[in-house]
Amino acid sequence: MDGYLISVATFIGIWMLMSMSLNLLVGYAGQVSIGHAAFFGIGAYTTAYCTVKLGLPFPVDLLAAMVVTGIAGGFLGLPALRVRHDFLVLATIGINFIVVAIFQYTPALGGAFGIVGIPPIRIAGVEFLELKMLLLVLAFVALVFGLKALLLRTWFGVRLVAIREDEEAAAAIGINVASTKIWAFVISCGVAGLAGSLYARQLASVFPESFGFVESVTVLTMVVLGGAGTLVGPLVGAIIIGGLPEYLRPIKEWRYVIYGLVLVLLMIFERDGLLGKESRLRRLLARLAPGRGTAAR
Amino acid sequence: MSLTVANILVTGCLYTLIAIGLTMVYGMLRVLHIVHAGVFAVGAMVGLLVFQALGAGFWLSLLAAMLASGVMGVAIYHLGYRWVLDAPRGTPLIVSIGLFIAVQSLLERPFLLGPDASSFDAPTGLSALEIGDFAMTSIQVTIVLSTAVVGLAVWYILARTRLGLGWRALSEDMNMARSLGVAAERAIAVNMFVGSAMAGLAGVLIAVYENAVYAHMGSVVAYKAFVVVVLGGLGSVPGAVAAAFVLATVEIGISTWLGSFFPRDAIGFAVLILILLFMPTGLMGKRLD
Amino acid sequence: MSTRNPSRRAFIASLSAALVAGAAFAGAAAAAEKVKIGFFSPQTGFAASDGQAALHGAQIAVQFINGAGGVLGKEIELVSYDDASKPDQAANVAQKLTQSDKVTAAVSGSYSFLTRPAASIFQRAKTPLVTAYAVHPEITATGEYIFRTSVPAEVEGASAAWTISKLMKKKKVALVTMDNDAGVALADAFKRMADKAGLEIATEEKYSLQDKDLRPILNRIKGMGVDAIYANGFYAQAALLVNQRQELGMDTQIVGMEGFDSPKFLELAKPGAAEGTVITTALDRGSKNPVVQKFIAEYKKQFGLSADMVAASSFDAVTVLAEAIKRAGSTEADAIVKALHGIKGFDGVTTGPFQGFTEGGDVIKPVMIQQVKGDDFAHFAIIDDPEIMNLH
Repeated sequence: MDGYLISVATFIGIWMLMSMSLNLLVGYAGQVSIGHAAFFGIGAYTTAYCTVKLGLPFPVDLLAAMVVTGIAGGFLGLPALRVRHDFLVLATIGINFIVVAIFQYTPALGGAFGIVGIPPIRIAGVEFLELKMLLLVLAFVALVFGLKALLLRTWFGVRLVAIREDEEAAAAIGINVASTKIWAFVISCGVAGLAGSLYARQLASVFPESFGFVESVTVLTMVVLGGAGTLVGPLVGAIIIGGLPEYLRPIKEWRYVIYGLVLVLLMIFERDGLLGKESRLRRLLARLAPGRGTAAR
Repeated sequence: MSLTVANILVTGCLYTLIAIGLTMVYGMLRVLHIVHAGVFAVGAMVGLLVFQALGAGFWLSLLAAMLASGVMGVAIYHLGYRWVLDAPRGTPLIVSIGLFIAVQSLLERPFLLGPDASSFDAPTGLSALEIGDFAMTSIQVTIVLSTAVVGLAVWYILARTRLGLGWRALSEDMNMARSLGVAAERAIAVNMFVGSAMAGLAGVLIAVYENAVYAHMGSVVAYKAFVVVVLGGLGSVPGAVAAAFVLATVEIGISTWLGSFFPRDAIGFAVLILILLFMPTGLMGKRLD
Repeated sequence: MSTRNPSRRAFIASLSAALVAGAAFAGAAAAAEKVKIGFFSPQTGFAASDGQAALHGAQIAVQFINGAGGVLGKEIELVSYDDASKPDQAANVAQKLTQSDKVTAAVSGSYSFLTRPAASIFQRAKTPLVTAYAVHPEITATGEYIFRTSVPAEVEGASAAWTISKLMKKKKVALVTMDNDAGVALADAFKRMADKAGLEIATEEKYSLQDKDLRPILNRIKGMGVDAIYANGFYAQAALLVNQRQELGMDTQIVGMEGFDSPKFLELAKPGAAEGTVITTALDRGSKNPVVQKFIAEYKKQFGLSADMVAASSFDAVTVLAEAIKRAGSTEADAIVKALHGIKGFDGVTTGPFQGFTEGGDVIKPVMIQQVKGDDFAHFAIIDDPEIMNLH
């Protein structure tokens, strides 16, 4: 299969992990975050550090990446408890800058030079490159998708939605808002760390400037575009945001003008996202597969 | 020291100009109006075009820029925001982001600004200032005076006119205000126009100050303006002014006295987050959810 | 207020219009017997200025080469892509060039964080890649198929220190360092040579590219009694530096680096502010080499701007690659690699002469020191001391 398409698909797969994890935070827990790329970066750097500086093998680096980002996410959750909505937006924007600055100014993390020479994932002596890497990434996507679907059916999932709909009411009926929120951050950021780890492997290098505010905005766009608070929405969002720039290559320097306009049009015509409630795509799917649409979203 | 004070004054004024427009729009429409930074850049471009192509002076170019920006703002509302005001919060944000991306990319095209920066060396005619040790260049004086005039004008509109009253009402509770007879569409349009015109004003002033107009000049504004607006309390104009100067002081203060051990923006945000931890409702204590 | 729900027809209509606009320009590549050389650079986005300059330099090189008969009796076709300053796009593009377009070799007109991911892919695909100007020390270390035709930061930074102490006879210098890899690498190299040359470093001030206000830094330097400032940045930062220095009433000598080498620096600098600034770069505008003058003239004619370092570097990368293909007598990768290593004393470039390549694939060539005089750069000195040129 064409190496180019495999490459594009692999990145789309990684974005899917990012958008699914951010969706948990934004779409289900109702916490705004424009700082997700920072955790993506922490995960990527952890893997880079573990493999290049410490010589650790897969899956040690991956687990380390998820644990570190999960903990970091928990820490982000703490101030998030005190501030609301728009202030949280600001704080999460700030996280991007602070984390990138730490990457850039810490010599042990390579400083401005980043960390290069990250080896591909090796399982049982087999190097996971190109197609094998794509399949591995897709396997993770399926795994995370399945786990997320399951999680949302548990009591935890109910708590999340309750908090999203009305935080005070949720607290009034005895839900531990603080603990639920923190866990949402931990899980969400942990999966971002997973995505970051795979990203580092795919590019074989990490540089500070790749994990900033613009990247966080891109991930949020995927979630909202696809439909926040839906299971499949983030996947569609990732495909469009990841695929559209490549698809538009023929128009060269007009790529991003059209890309921006497409975003605007899609959001105007599908205000809840492409797979949001009442969206044309969802209604179409409902007609094709009646009965599916009744599942909790 | 006096240099630092002058710098803080000028920077605070620039942040104020950008933030006032944004807080006006945000306060009324509750949209995370990212493309405000795009309007800012377009304003600078129009100013430069008028200055170069028509040979107009600084003030005429400035006026043209404000007009163009104002119109652009209204267009953005009619073509974009109007359709999604009652959509979930994220939707208008993505509309704004899409517009911003499209605008910046369009400005890169060779028939507009192109990929390079252009010089904008326009004398303003105001004289430089020198009081003992304290000195400000002509453009710096222009910035401070413009901000003062604009600030006063906006205060006057908000506090003393019916239009301003309508704006405050709409910001407080849009549906209630409409049912009480506030002419919403017109007020919103004027609000967008004025707020965006100020972005254009800021655009030209910064362009002349840095002697550079370029397609991506809105990138930093895109997040900095929000820092100021949120810190000052959404929709609060005095809050925006206070926050603008607090931010300028923190940034320049740290740069000057602590040296460059860490990027300025990161430090600014760190301080911000600390402030928000202790004052979760912002500087002015007013929370518009 | 009413938010009219746009009709389904309107939806399909406008979305289709946008997407059709996209697809309409897709055309089948013309099939012809040509030697394909790949190219990528940030042609859109915040780095589009450099990306497009690099593209233009490459395009002129291809023009010159084809005008002189091409290589191996065929014309060169430049297959160019935009990476939009995004590393994943750089990786995608590298795959496209090696797998879909199957180019013979390629040139990178991008910065380090974009070139490095691409280099992995080119190395794996055993396709030669020549880096035009990215400075990261470990790009060529990716493998034997990766080359670089711009001097490493080690050489350029050391040249600046050497110039300041030996040529300009200064004693005390302040560093103003851009905090990305290019800036830090140059500053580190500078410090090492300054140590050897006995140059005192009063302070090092770092700034980030989002900073438009260098006044606090200049203010601090003002009171330190330094007789030179070694600064690095791109042309926008260079202009901010000299303008703000002028505003603060300072006239300390500024020595910059190749990022300053652009007509835009001179355009954005206020009158007189840039005068006398010395830079380490690769392009010598006063060179007697006919290639240099022909390149500068053609670039001006086609693109209306004076050529800058990025364009010249990109031109050279393509030119030396074509030269290697000619000498190899084939488009076979290993032959090209061998031919590249065999190039010694090549003068057909604008930033040469190329003494040769190190084992690792880095070029050995002199550093040009230029100075701003009036509205252009002028020759100041050439650093071709083998000890400095061979620092790696």
